[in-house]
Amino acid sequence: MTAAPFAGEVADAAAAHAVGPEYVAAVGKVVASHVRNELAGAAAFDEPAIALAPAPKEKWLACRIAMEEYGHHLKFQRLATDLGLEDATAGRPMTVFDYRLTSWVEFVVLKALVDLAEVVLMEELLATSYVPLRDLVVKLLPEEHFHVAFGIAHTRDLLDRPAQRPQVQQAVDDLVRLTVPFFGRSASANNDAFRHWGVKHRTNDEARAEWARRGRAFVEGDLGLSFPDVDPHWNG
Amino acid sequence: MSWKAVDAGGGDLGPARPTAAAALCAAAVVAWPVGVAADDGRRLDLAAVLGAGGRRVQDLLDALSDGDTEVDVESLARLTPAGPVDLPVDVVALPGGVAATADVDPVWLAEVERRRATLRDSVLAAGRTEELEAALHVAMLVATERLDPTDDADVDAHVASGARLWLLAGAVVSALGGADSDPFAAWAWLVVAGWWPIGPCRGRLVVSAA
Ligand SMILES: [Fe+2]
Ligand SMILES: [Fe+2]
Repeated sequence: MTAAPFAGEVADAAAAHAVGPEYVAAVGKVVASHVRNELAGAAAFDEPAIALAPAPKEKWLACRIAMEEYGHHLKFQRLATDLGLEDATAGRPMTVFDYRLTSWVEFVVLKALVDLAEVVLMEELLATSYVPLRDLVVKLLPEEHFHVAFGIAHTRDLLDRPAQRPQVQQAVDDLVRLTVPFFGRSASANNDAFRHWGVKHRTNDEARAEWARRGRAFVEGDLGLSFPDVDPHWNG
Repeated sequence: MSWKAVDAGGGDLGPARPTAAAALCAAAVVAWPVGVAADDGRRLDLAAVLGAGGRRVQDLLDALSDGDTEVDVESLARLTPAGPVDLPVDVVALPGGVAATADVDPVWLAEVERRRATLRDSVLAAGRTEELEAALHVAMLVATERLDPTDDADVDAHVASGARLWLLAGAVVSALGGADSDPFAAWAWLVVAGWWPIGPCRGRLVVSAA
């Protein structure tokens, strides 16, 4: 990789190809990770959550959220297709999607904490060198913020009943553990390339630390529960 | 033979696939109307790709896109997806509608779920999984955009939007699986005309302005 980081802006797929295959590969990997995770998120969590909802109002909110996640998947898919990526869904989704959702409690804690991770990753893309990706996250972030706000509000509601505190704490513990790898390894050639090409600007550890800081503020400051220790260094 | 989803002008909306329904499922773009084109130049509209009941889905999406459908709210509201309900119809504003969701008759709602599951099973048993997926994919893509709350923080608007999407998804399943009887049709027409029919709540049949 050349020493001087790329400082340009890339207007569209044709311009990305003009910059070169390394640039396309770097943008493509970031886009593909969102293609997979939005779909896995919609299929694994949001759709089952429609059935787990305790009342009609929650059911229909979960339905709106599921449809939004599905839409996000397709919008990232469209960027991947424009870049000429063959099959962006081929890779393996993140470990967090191995989590099996069994209760409404888990769903709302997941929206508060895992969608917060998605927000942290998307916010970074507001400064990405690939303009179509920047434009897309500008459109999607308000919806992701709604998902997090939904998770926060409904987690708070659950704690109105003290008997549910242990279940909420368990969901926090499980989901924090599963979300740590979501940001990638500390030693990451991919992340080096993302930063070199201006696709991202933070290291994986910086993104992980930012998520943990905000997650802890909510769980400890707002809910009065404990947030597990998160070492920003993670190498699998 | 391969197919691609295309927009009204014939522009590509997605990659080539071996069947028309798979081509629709692979289209990542919200466009209406949507159809498919074969590599031999043949064109089909959504209704033709979906087969039996497909025209009903296409008509609903046409109406949703036009946004100027007039309906008789009282008479359609009584034809609920769980069967006819003879209660006074109460048309309320959105906050009243969301408040009413706490009182929706659970027996009625369970019956809506049961019918929907039965209809879904009948579509799948008929070997039409790919058509059902294509219909839901297109309908939910179009409707998620059309029913997008204008205020990204307005919880009530998200509840109404989610409920209307849920009813439309039920209507798609019902159109493909229902043959002569289509229990979700009347409420789907309320939805595309801009209403949110909620259900029987404490002796009233509540419909909200969405
Ligand atoms: Fe999302
Ligand atoms: Fe989300």
